Amino acid sequence: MSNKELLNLENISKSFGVVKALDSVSFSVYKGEIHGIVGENGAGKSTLANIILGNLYPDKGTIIFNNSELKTNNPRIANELGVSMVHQELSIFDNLTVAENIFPMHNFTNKYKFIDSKLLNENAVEQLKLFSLDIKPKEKMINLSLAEQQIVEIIRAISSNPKLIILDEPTSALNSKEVENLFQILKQLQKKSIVVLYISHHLSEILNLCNRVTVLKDGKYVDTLNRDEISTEKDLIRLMVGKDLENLYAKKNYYNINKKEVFMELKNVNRNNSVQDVSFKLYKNEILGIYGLEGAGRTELSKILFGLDNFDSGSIVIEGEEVNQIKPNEAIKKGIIYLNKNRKKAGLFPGMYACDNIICPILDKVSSHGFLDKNEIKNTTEKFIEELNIIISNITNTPKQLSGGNQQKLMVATCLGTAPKCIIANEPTRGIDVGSKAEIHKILKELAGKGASIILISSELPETISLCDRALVMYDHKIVGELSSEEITEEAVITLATGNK
Amino acid sequence: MLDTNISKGKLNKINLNDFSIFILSIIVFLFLAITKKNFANFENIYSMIYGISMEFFCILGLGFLLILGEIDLSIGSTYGFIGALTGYCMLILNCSIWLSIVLALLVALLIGLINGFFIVKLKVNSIVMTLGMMILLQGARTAFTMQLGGATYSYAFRSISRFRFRTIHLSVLLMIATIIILELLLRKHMLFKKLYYIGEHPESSTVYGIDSDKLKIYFYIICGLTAGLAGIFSASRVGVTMPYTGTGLEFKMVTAAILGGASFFGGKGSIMNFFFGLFFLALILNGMVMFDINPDWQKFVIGAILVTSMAIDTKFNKKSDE
Repeated sequence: MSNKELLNLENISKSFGVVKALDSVSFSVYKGEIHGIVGENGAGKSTLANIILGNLYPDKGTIIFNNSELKTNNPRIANELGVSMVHQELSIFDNLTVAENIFPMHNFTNKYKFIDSKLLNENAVEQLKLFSLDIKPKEKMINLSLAEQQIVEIIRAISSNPKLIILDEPTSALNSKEVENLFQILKQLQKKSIVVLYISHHLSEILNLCNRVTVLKDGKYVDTLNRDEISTEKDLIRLMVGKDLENLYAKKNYYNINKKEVFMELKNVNRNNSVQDVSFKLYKNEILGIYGLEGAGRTELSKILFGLDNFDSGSIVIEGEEVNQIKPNEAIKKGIIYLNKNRKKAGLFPGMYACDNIICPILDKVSSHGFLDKNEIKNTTEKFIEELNIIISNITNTPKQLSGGNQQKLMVATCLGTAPKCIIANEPTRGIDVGSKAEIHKILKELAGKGASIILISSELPETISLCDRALVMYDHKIVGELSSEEITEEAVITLATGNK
Repeated sequence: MLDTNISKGKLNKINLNDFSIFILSIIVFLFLAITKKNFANFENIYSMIYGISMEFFCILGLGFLLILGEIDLSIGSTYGFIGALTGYCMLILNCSIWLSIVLALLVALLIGLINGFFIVKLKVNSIVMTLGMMILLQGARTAFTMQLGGATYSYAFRSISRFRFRTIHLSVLLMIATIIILELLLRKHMLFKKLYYIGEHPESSTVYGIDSDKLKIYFYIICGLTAGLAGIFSASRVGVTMPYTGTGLEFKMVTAAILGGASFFGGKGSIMNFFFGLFFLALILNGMVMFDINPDWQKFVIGAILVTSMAIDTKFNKKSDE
């Protein structure tokens, strides 16, 4: 290792179950640079950051930091060696003061071990001055703007005099003026020879700020480019998208979309900043993709469609009838069902029988006069177990006893029980094996073929491309483009999703 | 391969856990029957059952709430307060017996509604909310009983709890009928099935269209009503309400419910087993009397059983986040 390198990653691999989050990633970060990391959702950026920070321990590979091997899963040790991070989600203490937030681990105590608040505040002022900021050290954190809170967090991260600071999507809550300020601060850090590892979806920021950029794709290292090797954002997009995977997914069947039959129409739907001015039509017989990068508002939008969240203005028309603030049980009555994105958070009853799981949304269909019909329950359950090829030894098995793929299929079965006219599928195949994935794809296609409308929200671009008849792309809480099945390519989608026209 | 496997699927699978409190009760029962001559006679057993029937309605509403993943710690003081209020209506306001009972039950309903509203709509933590309600009602109960000054209720009111069909008291008959009907409904009826879904996983039940907020409020109201009903039965049996009536009862009920298979993490429990939870506690307390153990130790024993059963519940039923 030569002297110009601060951090050297060698063959880092990390898997979560069947998912390979990182696959033999190697690259170096040089002293004195601002180093960008880009990639699609699920490319492995956050996993990589957490490994460097010591929050996760790699399955394979070595990390050389400042000429010695970093081998720890204790963030505190990494911190003492000079690595610190500002996470995407702020980790602040709302009701403590700015000074206390800057120095949560430092002991400014007098000889009786009581906190010396004068010393604490003086040190805080010193740090704040470095960035010529007008924030009082005694101010409660909760009274600060989001941007100021973020800056306090950055100050906290550099207060321990790190050699390397990692920033994960630092600008998601900032306006352009605040982004400009942040960049000034980062460039000051660079002058103090603190190396910055900058993770972002916003390619324009990367090009503005970084000296070198590393591209990851599906957990693999693609390339590291010098700033002068990149002429436009398109160059980066091409690397992020890659070419090799395009043929892995079967070419879609084109359904004859009857564009006259609208199932649902949204007109200028808004929800306090998380969804802005969304309008589109959802037809019968189609799979409509909604794509956006993390934080673009796609999950928020899907929750509004099913009534899990309210909307503030605009209107939703379902089969010609305008609905206001629909509730989930009303949505189910209208034939809409929601396939939740994280089955651990909602969508399954882990301790209840498989048959109880399947009948949950259709209790009235498997009972007569309100009393549950045992045979009906058994028949319905067995029908779906067979249809979806769920590997289970008994209908009284609980989801806890099933594999991830079978749990997911059980959740799909629960949704299909309602004989839905519209399925909102939020990440229907996240983290499951290839076989189950293909089966779920087949089911979604068949349903669309039979006349159902399907909204597919997937972070996996190849999935969106191979399944969807049409795709809407979201950026910054708005729909920024619509692509027909011929127009959907990784490049086109990513270009829109990163805010480029 | 798959088909042969599925055909084994049976819905009425026997789960040994469902019988553990029943088996435990039998063991204690046999032990007492063998060691103490005067235990296993009809008089003693029936008076135990009769005693349980007074408190049974208290555990009813609580049991539903535990299935829903909620709790009501104000049932003991509702029990005491509603008894005192019925007496107050009869003796101080000179209302007729039935009017007094109806008025008192309306107030019980209101107590349940307030609990439910604060917990469901305002998202107040249910333990803290109902603890507050407990203190508040204890105050009200004591104030009302002071007004009554220890006066005995009329013969007509006292005879409600003494009413018998042949040898069986009205409250015992009501209890048996309630156990049979509700056990059947809980196992077979879709409305009651929803309680288990909500208790097992509130977020999932929302996604599948179950209106958990509405059901929770309903069952808080039912809990207030059943606790009030138990309080009226007990006032009729004792003939007078004391300033301490119902104090500590909520913890005895929680203990019995957890013994009867309910879980602090929701989604579990059956009416039949709640009865056996009460029966088990009654056996223990009865046994303590038989062995001449100072009654001052009763609370100690209930506390010890509660702590132990909670530890077992947490070990086996706690849901992991991931």
